[in-house]
Amino acid sequence: MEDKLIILFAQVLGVSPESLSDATGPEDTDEWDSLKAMELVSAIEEAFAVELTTAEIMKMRTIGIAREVIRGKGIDI
Amino acid sequence: MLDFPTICFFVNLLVIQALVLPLYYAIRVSKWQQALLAITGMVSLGVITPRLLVFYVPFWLFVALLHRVTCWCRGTRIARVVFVLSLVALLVPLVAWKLLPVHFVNLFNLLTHHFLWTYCRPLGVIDSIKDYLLPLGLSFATFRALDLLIQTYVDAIPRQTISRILAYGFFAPVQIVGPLVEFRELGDSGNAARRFRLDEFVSGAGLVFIGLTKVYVLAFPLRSSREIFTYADVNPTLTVWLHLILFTWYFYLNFAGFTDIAVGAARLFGYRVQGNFNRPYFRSNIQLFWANWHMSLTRWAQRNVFVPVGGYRKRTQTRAIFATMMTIALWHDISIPLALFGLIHATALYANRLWQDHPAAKRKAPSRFNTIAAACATQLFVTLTFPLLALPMEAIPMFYGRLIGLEYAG
Repeated sequence: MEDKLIILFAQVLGVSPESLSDATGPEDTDEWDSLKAMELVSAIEEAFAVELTTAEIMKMRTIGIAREVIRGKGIDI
Repeated sequence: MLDFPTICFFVNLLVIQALVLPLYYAIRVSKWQQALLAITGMVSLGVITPRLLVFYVPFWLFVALLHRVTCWCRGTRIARVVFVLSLVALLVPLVAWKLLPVHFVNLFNLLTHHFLWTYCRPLGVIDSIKDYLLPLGLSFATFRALDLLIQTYVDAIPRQTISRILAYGFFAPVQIVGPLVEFRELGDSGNAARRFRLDEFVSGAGLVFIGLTKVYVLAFPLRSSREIFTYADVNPTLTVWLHLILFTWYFYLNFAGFTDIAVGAARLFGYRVQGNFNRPYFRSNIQLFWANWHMSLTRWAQRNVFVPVGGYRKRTQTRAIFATMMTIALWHDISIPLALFGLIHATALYANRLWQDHPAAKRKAPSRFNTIAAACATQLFVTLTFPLLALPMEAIPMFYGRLIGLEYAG
């Protein structure tokens, strides 16, 4: 089953989904700069119809943590 | 940067590490390794002068207390108030030092020495023969403490033991010249003790060697370029330009060299901390420059200023860029030249962001020639703003006047 969150990150960052995992963060992904971080927030909010708070965005340091935050909003991913 | 206390600190640290590492790796219990890390850090500071310990031991114990209080208050009504008060309390010494340097340094030296002389006479006697000293590493310690507290507040860091916080606070390799390591870089190992790995040890030693080469072989011959900021008025324009360019390389090689030593020393302890520089002078725009220059500070500011101020929303991104760059600039010193430096770089970053959003920038990949030209232009821009880091306000018009060939009559 395809991972919707990984595909979303791959599309925004312009990298292949295979290069990403739940452990991926900005420190090990050159493409994940502040501009992309902004695009990622918008893309997540749009794709999962959620609104992220500042504290949640500050916490989202890896794809895995982003997944936890989205799950915490009742979205099954 | 290439000054006596910094050099002494690293020489002492490497000697102390040589003595401590066999014991460190012989201990197979994580908490005892952390205790040894904290003690090593304390000894490294104490060898410079015991005065530093009188300041930093209570400082990091206070940080540990604030961390606990923030954890206890999480989710309660008073959480935000406690958090803001904690941040303010942590910032007081740093801001006092930057705003009232003479008064603060006098007070720092007098009170800490008086404490030692009164309550710990043997250390007080040793301290008596030490020089009058700045509170070394305070900017780094304050920002690392703030980072820990902010990450605790947003629940990115769970409750930690005091020994772990002290091991983070007194992690010797990064105390004086950074990098600004995050708690999770040192704290994510869970309860597993560090095991000796030959490949990591060789890689750490290699980095220390590269760092020493940068500092003593490459940067050292360029150190006299700093003097151009004092003698620009009596030198020809071409000499001023040449020395300014040499200074930018001295500044980079010196800082990057000490960072390599710090990262290498951390690796000798089994910790992989992130570096600070990644060929910043070869980047083709100002955003890429900042993404690769003093990266740990840039990352710190992105985490703790850019995101909270709204950098992730289009409508608030401009103010976030300016707030981030002003924080980075004023971290170095609270002064008008540094405020100007922050403002100029924030404006450049904003202009770069506008250009990146422009359809022409997205149309096709730039040619090799354009990329090289852009890297040269970025380097020139950075070079022209570096004097703001080194000059007092009254000397700035004279220096820039000399760069365009104006004679200085004063």
